[in-house]
Amino acid sequence: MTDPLFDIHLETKLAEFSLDYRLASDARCVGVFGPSGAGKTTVIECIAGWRRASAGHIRVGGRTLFDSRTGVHVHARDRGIGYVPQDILLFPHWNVIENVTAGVRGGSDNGDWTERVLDLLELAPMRERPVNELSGGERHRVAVARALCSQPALLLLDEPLSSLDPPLKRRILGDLVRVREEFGIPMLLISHDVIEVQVLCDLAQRLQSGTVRAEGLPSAVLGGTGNGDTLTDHENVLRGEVVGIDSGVARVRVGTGVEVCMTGGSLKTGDRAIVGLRADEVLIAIGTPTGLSARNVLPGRVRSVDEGASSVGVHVDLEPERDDGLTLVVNVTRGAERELGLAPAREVQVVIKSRSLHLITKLNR
Amino acid sequence: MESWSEALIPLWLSLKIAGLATLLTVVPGTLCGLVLARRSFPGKAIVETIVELPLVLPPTAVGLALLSLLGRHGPLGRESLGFDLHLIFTWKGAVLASAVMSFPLVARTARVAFEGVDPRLEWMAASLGMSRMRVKWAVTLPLAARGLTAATLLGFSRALGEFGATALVAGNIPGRTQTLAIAIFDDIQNGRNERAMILLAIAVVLAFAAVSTVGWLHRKDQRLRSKT
Repeated sequence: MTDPLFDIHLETKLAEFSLDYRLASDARCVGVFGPSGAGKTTVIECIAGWRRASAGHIRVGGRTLFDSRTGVHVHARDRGIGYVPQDILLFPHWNVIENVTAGVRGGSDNGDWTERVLDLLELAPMRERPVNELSGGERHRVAVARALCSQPALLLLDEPLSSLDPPLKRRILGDLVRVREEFGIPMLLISHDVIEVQVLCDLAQRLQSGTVRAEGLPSAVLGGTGNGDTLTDHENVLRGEVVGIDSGVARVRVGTGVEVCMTGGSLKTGDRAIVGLRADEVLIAIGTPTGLSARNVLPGRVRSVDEGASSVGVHVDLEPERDDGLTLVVNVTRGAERELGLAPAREVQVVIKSRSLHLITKLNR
Repeated sequence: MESWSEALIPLWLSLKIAGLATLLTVVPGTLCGLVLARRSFPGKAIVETIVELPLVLPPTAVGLALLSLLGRHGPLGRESLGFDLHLIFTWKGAVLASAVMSFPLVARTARVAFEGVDPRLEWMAASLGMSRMRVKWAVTLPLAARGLTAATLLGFSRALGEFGATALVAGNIPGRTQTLAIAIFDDIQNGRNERAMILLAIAVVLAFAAVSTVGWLHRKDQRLRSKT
């Protein structure tokens, strides 16, 4: 049996509680979600080697970075981890290119790699600029580029979108998705922003008072944890490509073959986009409804039903024949759940207005 | 006119002694500041006290201590070592006394400069794979550079104004060990008020330049930090 990509167990005493963090997963991108003060930054700094847990172990890709039992504690410089901290920490006395190449070690491929990173994050035109003249978003991009240019085995991101305004959040989020797709470096990000975790991660953990309270698919773990922000309050995040525009309505292919219609806005055919959908704005019908103004009526099968305090979260597979197919979370009332007989394996129709699908970010360069 | 040209001798001697004393203190003072800013070790409080002792002791007391150390019968004297260091009543002795007196100021200012560098920047540099030496050389030192320049200037100024310890160790030999500070004292004692006033004017100009430069460096440093 091979080791999981992430095999982490950290125990340490913090001011108000004890941290007991565990992660054993092959997910390429893990999101640790939780409120401020939950111990998220301690977790990430222990993994980066900036602080030492009192007990536990850290193994990434089979390599032991820390093991309290055997006394292994690999220094931060030898961990090969790229870290983008919340406060960015650019070297203020260097310009963009000096910052970006700060971690470049000798080697023939570094030049190409660096150029690829600069190109991807659109930093090439500002390579000579002093970093204290950059805007907030530019500084974020430089920090991500610097981490990537050290060709890390793991990329750690601490609240990558915090303190950015919504348009900039969309921009940086798109950059991070491209980084994930193009470089394939495993990522662990911590966040108190639902959208970051949903868009970027394969696995989400909810950390509270130092312990992991929930773990699973981002939509399942984070459903209903929205904070009222129009950008972040989407329980469903879909990734797709615009396959056509008709009368201002964009047809977007999501998952492997499901097509949904949404108001086009700035979208063009061929655009790749991330689209958000609130669980409250989806209807469930038994049998095919007729005479509807809604543009999207999609067949699906109930995967699971979660009883919440005030509503019921129904997880509907839109591609039930696939294990990793598209799943939507739909909030219904208890009465609707009883009346429609919603239970696992029930065949249903999902109804979505085109206006309920919101563009979160475009992934085009 | 004669007074002006005469005044240049103690000025030149002072500059030479203060310059060499600064050269002598800047590296150990900077290293001491770095260790005190970044390291925790048993007995750190005692080391801090010893380093700062010359700042609070009367300079003549430090001079007396040096004299006892370097005197013929002292631990570093001719009888103990078997040879003479030729420090007592020489300009080299004045350099040593000035260095000892300015060392705490250099170390203390350097410590503040290093403490002003966010240690997380050093962690970041390490995470990027930089060696310990490269982190210090490429990140810590440049970011502390203005503070370290201020430390050097303050050390130089302290050495330039040194009187008590220098007078005890090096004496008051015109043209050989009579620095600016000692010459002013000597002139007043001997009623050469006009020359004393000229030396005073020179001392004021030097002090003004040093303090203004330190202030300018400090303001520039604050501006850089507030931007980042």
